[in-house]
Amino acid sequence: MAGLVSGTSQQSQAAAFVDDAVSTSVFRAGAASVASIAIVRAKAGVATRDPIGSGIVWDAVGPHVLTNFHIIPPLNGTNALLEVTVTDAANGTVTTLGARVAGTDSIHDLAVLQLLPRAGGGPGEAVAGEVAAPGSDVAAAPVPALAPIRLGTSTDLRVGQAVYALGCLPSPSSSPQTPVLTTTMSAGLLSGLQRSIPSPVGARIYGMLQTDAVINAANSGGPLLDSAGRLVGLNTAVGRNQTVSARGSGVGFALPADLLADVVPKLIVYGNPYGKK
Amino acid sequence: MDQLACNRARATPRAGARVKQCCFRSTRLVVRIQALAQSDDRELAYTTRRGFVAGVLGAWGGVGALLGSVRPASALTLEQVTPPVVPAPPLPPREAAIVSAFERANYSIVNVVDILLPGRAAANPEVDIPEGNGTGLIWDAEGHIVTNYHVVLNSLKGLTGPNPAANRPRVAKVTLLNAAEGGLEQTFDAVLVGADRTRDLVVLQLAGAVPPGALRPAALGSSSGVRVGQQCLAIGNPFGFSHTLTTGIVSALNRDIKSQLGTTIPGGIQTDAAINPGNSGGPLLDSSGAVIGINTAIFTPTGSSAGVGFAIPVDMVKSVVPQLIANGRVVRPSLDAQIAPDTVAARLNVGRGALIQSVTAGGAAEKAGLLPTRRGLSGIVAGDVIQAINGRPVNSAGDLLVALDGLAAGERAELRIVRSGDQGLQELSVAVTLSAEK
Repeated sequence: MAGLVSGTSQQSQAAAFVDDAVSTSVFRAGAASVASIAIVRAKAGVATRDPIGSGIVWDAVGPHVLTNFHIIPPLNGTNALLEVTVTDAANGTVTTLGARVAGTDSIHDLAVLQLLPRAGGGPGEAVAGEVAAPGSDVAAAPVPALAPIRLGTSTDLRVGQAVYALGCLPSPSSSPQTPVLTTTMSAGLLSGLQRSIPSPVGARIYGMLQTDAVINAANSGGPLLDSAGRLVGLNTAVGRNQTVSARGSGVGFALPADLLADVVPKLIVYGNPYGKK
Repeated sequence: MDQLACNRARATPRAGARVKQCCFRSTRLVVRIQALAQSDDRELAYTTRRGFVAGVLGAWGGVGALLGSVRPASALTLEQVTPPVVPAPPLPPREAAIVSAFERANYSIVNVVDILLPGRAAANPEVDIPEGNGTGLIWDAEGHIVTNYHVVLNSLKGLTGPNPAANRPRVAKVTLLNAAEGGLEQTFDAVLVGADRTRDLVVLQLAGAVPPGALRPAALGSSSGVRVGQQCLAIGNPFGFSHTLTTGIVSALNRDIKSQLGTTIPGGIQTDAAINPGNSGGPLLDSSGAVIGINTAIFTPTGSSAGVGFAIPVDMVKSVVPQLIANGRVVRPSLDAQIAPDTVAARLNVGRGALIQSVTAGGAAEKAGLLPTRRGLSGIVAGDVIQAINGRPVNSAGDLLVALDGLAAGERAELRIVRSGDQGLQELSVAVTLSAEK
């Protein structure tokens, strides 16, 4: 199974109190619900794929994938497309699907993507000009059987309990025809509750969970799970010193699950977090 | 402490950044939200929500006809897209133990803010200011607070005289959780009771009326039984986030901590628990919640935690704090000799022991006849190497400092030394009357 407990320098920290049986079962249960999100751009006819972060499979009826608002670059006026790579829960095959943004809540740094199954079952071409003529006989590929994340609550969380941050990236051996994913997990504990950090649009986000599990660009948008494998947060940001740094500092933040349970259905149905048309 | 800003400007590390031992130089926090693929040349500007969604839909408009299996959003109901909440099972025993250790210890941890700090921050926010926001420990029911000297450095620099604590000046504001009122946050002024610059420790006392039962003194452990590999917890206020819990293990023992004040503190406990600016003065706890050290410094190229943090062992704190409470200062015994750093000793082929580099004229070492490192006919001759003091083995300069901590000024100490001479190496026993450290 593609996956490894990440965070080499935090390895000794994770080994101190993390029960191997618990952490491996959390990973086994949760890895299928993590997706990788990439931007596909056409440059001189060549499609380039840049992974931008991770996502959480929310439901199978859309299907919808959650991620952070800040990892999605502006797509307005460009021919860049979003692509989400997911794992089929039934047989483990990895598929890449196109996605559209179903709704965003920039104040809470949240975005919901809807997966769009492509014709032929494989990843589509990046160049937007290539479309089949309407009415042609194209069979849509079956949507893979997705494993939605098991939702938990964040009100009953206690400082000191173990949390696991999962993320997902394409493997080095991945190609557009045969995508391969590497899912990673980083263990830590819940350092604090009800923290406030700046949001990407200048306001503040309140009620954030603080953890010392490693949170970085790779698992941004991925899930934060408790030791029962329930979703308690969405990995969002890292606090660090003003000086330039590529490393985290042991101070990471995640959106709480109660906020997600409140806002995400509204984003899906109405496209905005207020619940109105 | 509220200087948070969203900074997306830097994508690559500054070239030539040196690794420096940094003890919490800067207090600015930046919340870094990182995306893997930084856009090539384009400025990452945020479009409005409507513009964003419209743009994406526009790109896909041409292929809308193909995607017949996509269900339009309006056909879904809230119930369909709200997953069921899985109830929380009880916490595994290991986690429950950490949670309860934290909840017990939390009442003994306070937030210490240097009184002079806010003025400086407003005046010149771009400059790295010495840390003024740190953590402290409630030592006893009289309201004594133990923290690092460099946390209140701004205020202490302004005090003059041999005993700056003589008239108990106000140096900090301390915020604690009132144990009698269920954790209500209350802030008190704190006055200086005693300062030990050499060991980067200071004792404050809460001024004014503290409600009875509000203070819960910290449960102190013992650092002599600490072993490498055992789990430890750190509680502090990194970047201003109060009462933050981080965990790690004891990575090494007996480290020399280079404090921000230029002194070297021996016997330090090294840990990989995340310790950041703001954790200074806070406790390092073992897994039962007993204090085994006071977090003091980090070794990092970036200014934030890199997994290498140092704490003053609690046994050293237990010997310093009562002296500070009683006398306002610590009088340490001294040999009146400068001990060579480990690099110099290695170059002179000194293996085990503390090498005397120079002796102060008229001091205790000179009176006892100890010889410094001197120039001989055939080159540099190493000075006397102290290998034991009162029977206790000394393997390095740090060991000597720790051993001297247990003795008093004016006491006689028996040193076992190795002297280099023309006839080679000689083992001698020398008696020294320790003097008081200036």
